[in-house]
Amino acid sequence: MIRPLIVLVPVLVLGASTALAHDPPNHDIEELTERIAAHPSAPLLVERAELWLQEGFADEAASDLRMAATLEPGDAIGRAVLWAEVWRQRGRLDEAEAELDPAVAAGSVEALAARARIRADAGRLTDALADYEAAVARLLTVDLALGHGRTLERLGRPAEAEAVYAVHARRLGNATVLVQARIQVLRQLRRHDDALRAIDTQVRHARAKSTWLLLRGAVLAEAGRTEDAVRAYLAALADAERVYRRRRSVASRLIRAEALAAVGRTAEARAEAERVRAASPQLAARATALLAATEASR
Amino acid sequence: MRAAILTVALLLSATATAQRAPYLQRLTPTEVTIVWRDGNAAGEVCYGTAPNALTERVVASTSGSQHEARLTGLNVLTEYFYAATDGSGCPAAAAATDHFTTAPEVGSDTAFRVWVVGDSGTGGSRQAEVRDAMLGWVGAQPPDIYLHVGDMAYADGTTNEFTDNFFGMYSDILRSTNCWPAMGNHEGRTADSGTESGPYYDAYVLPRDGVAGGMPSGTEAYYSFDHANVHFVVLDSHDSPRSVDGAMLQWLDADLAAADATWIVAFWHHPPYTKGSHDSDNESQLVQMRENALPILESYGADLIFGGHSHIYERSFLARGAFDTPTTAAGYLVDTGDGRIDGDGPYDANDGTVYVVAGHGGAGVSGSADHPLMYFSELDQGSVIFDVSGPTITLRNIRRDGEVTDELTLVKGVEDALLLVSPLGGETIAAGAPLPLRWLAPDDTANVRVELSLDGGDHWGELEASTPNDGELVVTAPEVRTDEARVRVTDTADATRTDESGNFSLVGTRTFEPIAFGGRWEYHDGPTAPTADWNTTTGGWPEGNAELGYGDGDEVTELLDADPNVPTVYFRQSIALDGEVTRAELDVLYDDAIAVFVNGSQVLGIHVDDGLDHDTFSSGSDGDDARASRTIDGSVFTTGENVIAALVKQASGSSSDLSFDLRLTLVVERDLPGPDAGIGGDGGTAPRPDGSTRFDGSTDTDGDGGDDGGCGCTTLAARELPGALLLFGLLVLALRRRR
Repeated sequence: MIRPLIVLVPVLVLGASTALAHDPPNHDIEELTERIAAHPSAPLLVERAELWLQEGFADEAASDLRMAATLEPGDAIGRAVLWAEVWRQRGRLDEAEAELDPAVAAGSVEALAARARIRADAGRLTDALADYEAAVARLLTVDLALGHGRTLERLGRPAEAEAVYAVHARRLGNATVLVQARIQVLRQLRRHDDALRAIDTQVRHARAKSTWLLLRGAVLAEAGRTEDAVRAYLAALADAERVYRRRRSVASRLIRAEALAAVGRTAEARAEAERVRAASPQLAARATALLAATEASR
Repeated sequence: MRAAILTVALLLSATATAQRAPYLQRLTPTEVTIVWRDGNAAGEVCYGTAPNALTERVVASTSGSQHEARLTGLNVLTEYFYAATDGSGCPAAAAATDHFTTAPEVGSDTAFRVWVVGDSGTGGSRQAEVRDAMLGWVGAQPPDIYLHVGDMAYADGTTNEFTDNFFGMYSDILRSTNCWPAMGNHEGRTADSGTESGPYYDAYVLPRDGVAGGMPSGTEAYYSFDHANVHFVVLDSHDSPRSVDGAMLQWLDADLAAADATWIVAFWHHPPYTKGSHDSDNESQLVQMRENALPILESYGADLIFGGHSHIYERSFLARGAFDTPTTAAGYLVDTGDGRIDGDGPYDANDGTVYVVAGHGGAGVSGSADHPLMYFSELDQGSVIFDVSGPTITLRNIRRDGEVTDELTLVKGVEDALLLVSPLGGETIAAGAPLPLRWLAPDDTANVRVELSLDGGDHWGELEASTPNDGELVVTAPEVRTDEARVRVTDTADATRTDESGNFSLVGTRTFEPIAFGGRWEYHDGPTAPTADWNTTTGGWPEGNAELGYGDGDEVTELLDADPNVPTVYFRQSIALDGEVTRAELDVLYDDAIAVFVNGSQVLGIHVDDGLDHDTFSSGSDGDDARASRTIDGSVFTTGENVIAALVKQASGSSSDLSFDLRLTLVVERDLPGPDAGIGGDGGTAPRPDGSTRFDGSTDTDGDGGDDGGCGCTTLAARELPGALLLFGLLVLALRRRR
């Protein structure tokens, strides 16, 4: 065992100097660098490569991954996702995907999920869909479920997207972001009753119900149930007023403005939206949209 | 990427035989899950509302050595007692440690206490000191819930590290207090948020389906829960996507839109602002949480945000909108005061957010501690306690030595309403001491009437018929004993603008320091022993102010530095007390050994195992300027004169230095009349023509504390202390004008 270590020393020294071409931007990288200097090991190098990638230092990460492979050549599958991220940060999606192929073939669901995202980013939606379908069959997470449904939407297959959102949401405890995505698709499909039922699964969790009641009103209006829509909007406004009295946040103000607009109190809604636009750069776009939507009603 | 580490962790998990005492999870107003690990094949929880009547039983689900019993259909805000068993039968009674109280009704103004810890998981002495400092400070009012902001099991979050450094370290606390966790990067070495697997996810049972309040996240990696009038949000800054179009932040937006709580408190591991062992200007996870999560949280009016990761304590000014990188303060500080009720005044939480880095729970601290958003930073271990009471949150940093080194209050007023901020109810005020009143009222309120009741609001007497609406008034609490005191503040022109406190207590106990650090002592530093009665008498020795000693250069009074050293040096002073001492706390600074006496009785001895003889050196040393604290038996004190004496020993004839200082804190009890004496009696009130009564106790309008009657001590060195800093959570007694 002594001979190989002696051979490796120049490699490690060279690699270490390459890896520290930048000042470590992260205290954890500094600590790992000290530990690696004292006891070089593949797991520590892989851990440092992941930190380099978090900070956007692809070259340093690649250097660490190469050193890790020199020390422990056997874990290429386990490191494939990190190599793919190196290539992705360099803007070379083909190489990223190629890096993942063997790991996917070897059964890595993590590699499969990563490849699905890379293929979706590259616009290769059919291939991405295949990966998403394979991935969610083995590991269902909210992010993967969203990716799966969004890919179907981008492929112009909303009915299938709705179905996967529905199935995934049910398996993930009615996860709110999946239900929201499903409701949007149901509205496109003009399946209003299903949209209303989906909304109701969330309303029971919400203590401030105004955003869900506004959505309910919008769906009812789309369904031509105008009186029911007005009732929902009035309920939304009452709840928005209650919440705003309790919590004077800029978002509460904007939700109140949206409710005011929904019940036709346009001038008040616009005044509130103007205040939101002045107070919050983050909500300015939504406030501006409200102002534009109510422009004709002035 | 983490496959190898995860494999090792799973192996460790599968082979671990370590035991975990019962701990609480997912506590709500109507349910709780009790989790424990042992070698039994099955588990069952017996429970009931009395410790000796465990009449209900729930069979636990068992996976490996871990049992999880979900208790449902419980009553709101009710104390239950339980026993975790192997299913063979219920014991006659629950262990004293095994009980819990269900959460208050969601939205209620029930007061509660929260403990916040981060980066604690070393399993070392500093971590234990932090825990014990908290327990010492809270006394009989332990936390209702426990938040951990991550890094609870160094170095890799393995099963055994969790067992030893978290569940073992906090065992007695976790049996009765629900811990809500956020995952740290060290747990992330062996746990994976994508698969929700690894020791972190094995250990915790978290609400992914909205069962504890908030919207369903669909994952245990991030979630929310409600407790009384607070909505808590927990994010995963380490291992879940942090982009604005990722599932976590989309859920955050929906969750906050659905929250109607008075307060929003959020926490995760990587802090958005810090200059501790990490730098929030440089590190991507911190930058992304600041740039992506904070705009959402602030737009919904988040009030208090905790992080860890950076090993330091930092607390911000009230801030808003500082999302840029690097962070600058200009234009983003909403209130540049200290946020203290007894300082520049509390922050109005409607206007901004306070950020706290609590990465000081046990790991070594470091950093430049100069973040521009921070009002206060400290490089020492500790933890945070915050108390929620209706429209007020009071936060304190409890350093590992028990000192409260930072304190702030957040208040949340309601538009067009008058809000009493202090007292709120539940406080214990010393009779005869300054009683600070604080309120928020609309600008068009010109004057307010201030009233006091001593019987829970049945009868009221005026403290001030009309005082300007400047938000504060300091009066002297009447010399009455009651647990039903209340104050009420009303707009003199609009009686609908009124608010009154809950019941608070007026007591004869006073907390004070008859001997402060830096006090004046008689000393004997000569080569011969003093007379045998040296620690029961005073007079005849030279005097000097502490710190006394030699060799370090920081002495106020330099003592004889003989060669060889005099083995023992003596100190003493007398204090006079006019009441019974119910509690006493001693803090000493010493080098190398010390013994302390009260009226000749030894109450402390450190490194004096070789005896107290004059010519005997110390039996050990804790280094330069070592500190120690002890609670001592109050019965050693007497009403009247008391002699406090100490001897300090050198380590050897050639040791270079010797140091001594001492602080004594006492709680003294005096007899007081009951509340009947306070209204219309001889307790300081006088009838008024309109049939109401007026308290004629003095009004301390300049806020300087006024009359010190009844302090229980006559020594000139005595100094009034903010009682809340000490033993019983007394209200801060002195108010200063807001700048």
